[in-house]
Amino acid sequence: MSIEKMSFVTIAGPTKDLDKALCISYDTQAFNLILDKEGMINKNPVRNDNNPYGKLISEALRISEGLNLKIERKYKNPKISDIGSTEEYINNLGKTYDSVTEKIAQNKDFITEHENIYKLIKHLAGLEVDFEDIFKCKMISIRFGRMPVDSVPKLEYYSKKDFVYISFDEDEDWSWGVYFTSKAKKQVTDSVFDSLYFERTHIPEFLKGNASDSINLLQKMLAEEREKLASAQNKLKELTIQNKTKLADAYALLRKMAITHEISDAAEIIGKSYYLSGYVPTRKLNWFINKFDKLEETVVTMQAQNNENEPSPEAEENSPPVLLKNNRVIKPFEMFVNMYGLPSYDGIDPTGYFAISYILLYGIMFGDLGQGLVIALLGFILKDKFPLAPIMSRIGFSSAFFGIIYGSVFGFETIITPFFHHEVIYKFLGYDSPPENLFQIANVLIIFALFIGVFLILTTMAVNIGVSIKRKSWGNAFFGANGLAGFILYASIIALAGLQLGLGIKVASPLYIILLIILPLVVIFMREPLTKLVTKEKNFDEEKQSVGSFIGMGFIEMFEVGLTYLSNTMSFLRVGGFILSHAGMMLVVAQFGGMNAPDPKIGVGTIIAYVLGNAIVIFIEGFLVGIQVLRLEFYEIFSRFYVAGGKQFIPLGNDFEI
Amino acid sequence: MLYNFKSQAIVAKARAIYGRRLTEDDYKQLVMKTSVSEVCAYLKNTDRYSKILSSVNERTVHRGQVENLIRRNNFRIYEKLYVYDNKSNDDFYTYYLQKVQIKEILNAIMFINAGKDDDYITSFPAFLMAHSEIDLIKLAKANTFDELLGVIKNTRYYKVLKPFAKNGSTKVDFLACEKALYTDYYKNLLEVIQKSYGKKTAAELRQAILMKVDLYNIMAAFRMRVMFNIEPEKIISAMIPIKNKVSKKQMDELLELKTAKEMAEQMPALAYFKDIPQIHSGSIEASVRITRGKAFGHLLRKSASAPVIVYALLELLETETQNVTTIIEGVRYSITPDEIEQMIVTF
Repeated sequence: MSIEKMSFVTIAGPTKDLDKALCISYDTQAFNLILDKEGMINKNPVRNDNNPYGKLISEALRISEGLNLKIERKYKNPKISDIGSTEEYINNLGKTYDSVTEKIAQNKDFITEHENIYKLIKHLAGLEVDFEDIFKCKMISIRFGRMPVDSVPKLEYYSKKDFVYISFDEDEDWSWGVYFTSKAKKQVTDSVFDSLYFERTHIPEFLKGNASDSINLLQKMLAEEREKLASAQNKLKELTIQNKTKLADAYALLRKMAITHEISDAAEIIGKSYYLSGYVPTRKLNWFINKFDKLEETVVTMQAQNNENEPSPEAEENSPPVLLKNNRVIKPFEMFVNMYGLPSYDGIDPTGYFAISYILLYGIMFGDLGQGLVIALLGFILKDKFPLAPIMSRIGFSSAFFGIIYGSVFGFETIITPFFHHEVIYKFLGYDSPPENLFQIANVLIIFALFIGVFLILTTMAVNIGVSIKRKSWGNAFFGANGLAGFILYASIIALAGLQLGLGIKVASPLYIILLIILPLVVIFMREPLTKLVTKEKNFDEEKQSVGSFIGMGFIEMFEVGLTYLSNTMSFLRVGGFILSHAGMMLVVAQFGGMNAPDPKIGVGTIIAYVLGNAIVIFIEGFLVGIQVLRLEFYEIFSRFYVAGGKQFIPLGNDFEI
Repeated sequence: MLYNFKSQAIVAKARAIYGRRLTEDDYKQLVMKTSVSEVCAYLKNTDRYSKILSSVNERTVHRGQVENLIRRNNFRIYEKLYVYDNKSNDDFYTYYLQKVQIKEILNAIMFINAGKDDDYITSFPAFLMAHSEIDLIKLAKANTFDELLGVIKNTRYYKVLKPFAKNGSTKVDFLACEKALYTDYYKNLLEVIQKSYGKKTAAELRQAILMKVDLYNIMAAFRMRVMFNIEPEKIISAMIPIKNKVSKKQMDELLELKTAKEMAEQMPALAYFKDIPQIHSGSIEASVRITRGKAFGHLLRKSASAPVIVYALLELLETETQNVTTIIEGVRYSITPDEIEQMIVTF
């Protein structure tokens, strides 16, 4: 739960070793290169004709697409290093792939062509005349084919022309048939039928006998050709299986070579030496330096960023990139933090705080043992396919845990005893007998939700005080609405409301009001002058503010502070709302399943209602709660302390588009 | 209650059809094609045209065949929506059939004037034969205006066209016939709307139809004045005499102009073209079509009334068919993609 410390490193050596140094840096995946000529680099080497590996990469991608092999366009350890044999492999694979796909295309063309003939002949099934005899006619021309059904009634227009059209079959769009005309009128008739979009089908010479004989022959030919097609398609599948790993490795090597080639063109060269500067996580520094042992003439010098006495000039210009360091449980939540913006290098990593509060809030708002386990299971199944999946498995367990507390399993509330059915609890909550369901303790849930909100807001204010002290932002830490003054003010108002108004315990006294409410209000009101006093800062740029304007602005800000406290606290009411809404939705499912009747009988309908109902609730409410918690995190928590603005740590080559 | 339910179903159905229209991106891809078969192959892969063109062989397909299939599909959509919303005494829905019939009569007159050839029979919509009150084969065979009048004798169009019959002469005044047919059509339509629908629906349909008339007259003014240099008085006499947002003064001013450039400069002063950016001499017709497309698109999205939405949908389908036809023609005659794109109306 922290931000990795970075060290600024310079790698220098003779230009002949530049490519090797870049390859080593690339393979470590721990070097964020900083280049002056960054803008000159083409991040897609495939589009750069001068990159010797661009064409090979295109070819590898073309083959992988054709073979349905998904190549991950990110860093992968190549496992192979011989570029010559890789080039040969890609070229040979391309040739094999082309020959197999060409064969498939030929088979398909043959099948399409003969299927069309088959369709036509099939429509002539009733014709008991030998095709040879038909084509032997000397005075009559005969054309087989099809025309749009719309064209058939138009033939009436040509009633005086010398032709006969016989339709053998019709569907919604086409009429299959034949027209006869005299040899002398052939040209005119052909042009009439052409204008009516008649599509002629040539009967191949190999078709002998009548229509039935031809149908049999065509069926046999098509069956043979389909077998050939299936065999060619199998070959393609074999090619896919054989090359799955090899092609991915070849691509990984080509990617590495293409990227390092692009970067080498932009590297800083002075005389006969190259210089590569960038950041390495400090804890990996020695390991990183040792990687260059093979290059005897290469020197790696480093300047630790946390060494405040001697900051390097380069490091001052470039703020170090940010790499979050979190354990496996919390790491998936970095996605949400990145969505809000990476923390600055000198800030704090909020992922841990975010993850814990997110997991807890989600479980509280969507508590169901069965549904939670389904979400967790989906998370495990989809972990490599869906970016939210690892988060789903974590929040799923939280949902299952709170499901046990609420006593809810797929909406059934009789399998596990809910917490409010325990005597100690319901008596503590002020009930004489166990409440029937969650709706009867709605007021308790609402107060509980507000309590969570207050707790999280106060915790966030405490975090803000800590972060501000670390950043030496004294005004923010002590005098801000989210600083110490705000903390005291908010906590005192809540205590006053909770204890005095809620429980009837008298806490309000003149001293309480003056010290814990009025004083913090005055401090927040006087935040700017107090900050200037503490920091002894004189702001010359700012225009002098009149007393009236200061007081006016101050009052508006105070009003805003009060309103924000109120709205932020109320915002957490949704936590209680969602607990009730979940129970309500499951009640509807039970109603559909007939389980709310006095003597419920479980039938097929009940099972269908429960399966469908649970699926819908998991999908709709699962997402909705996820979004609402995210909203609470971003608006009510992050906005109090979080300062984004960090640059992401990008290992060499990871920002390329291949 | 039932009618309201049906009405909502029609609205949903019509909007679903609208949702499958060709997008701007589709048009961008289509104008880049280099042959009719490529255009057809692309259309076969779109939601809207995949079924319509499924049985067509794109390697051998003819331009006219594609157009016929699309027009037939448009008519089928009309039929389906009409059957679904066929309220008793609802004469409004026959408007589409009437419009198509008028188009066929005018086509027949044009071919009679030009000296009959067989091209007409190729292009005429056979799908209409089962629905039309006119015997379309007989209409196609008519060689003179008198023969044509004989074919339409038992229809309302006979009374409208009878005054134009001239003994002995085979040719008739096409523009006068066109004006008479459309004037009768629109006047009748406006009356039917007033009688058949409630205040809001009637007002929406009335506005849509009056806009169409206005745009028809503007297009006629541009073509006759700039392209054929016809005198203003003659143009006015050929226009549909139903006024809406273009005043007599505005139309007179427009007809005083002689060049496309002058007309393009004058257009933004008219109510319909205030939001159309940069109308220039080459884009007047496109501007009129864009205005129409945008207005009907807006109506289809915003209105809650089934007849209004169906009317807007059928207009938009026609616009889309024109777009496809324009692309096919453009590709066939090797017009540059940029030029074709300028003639396309998206909505």
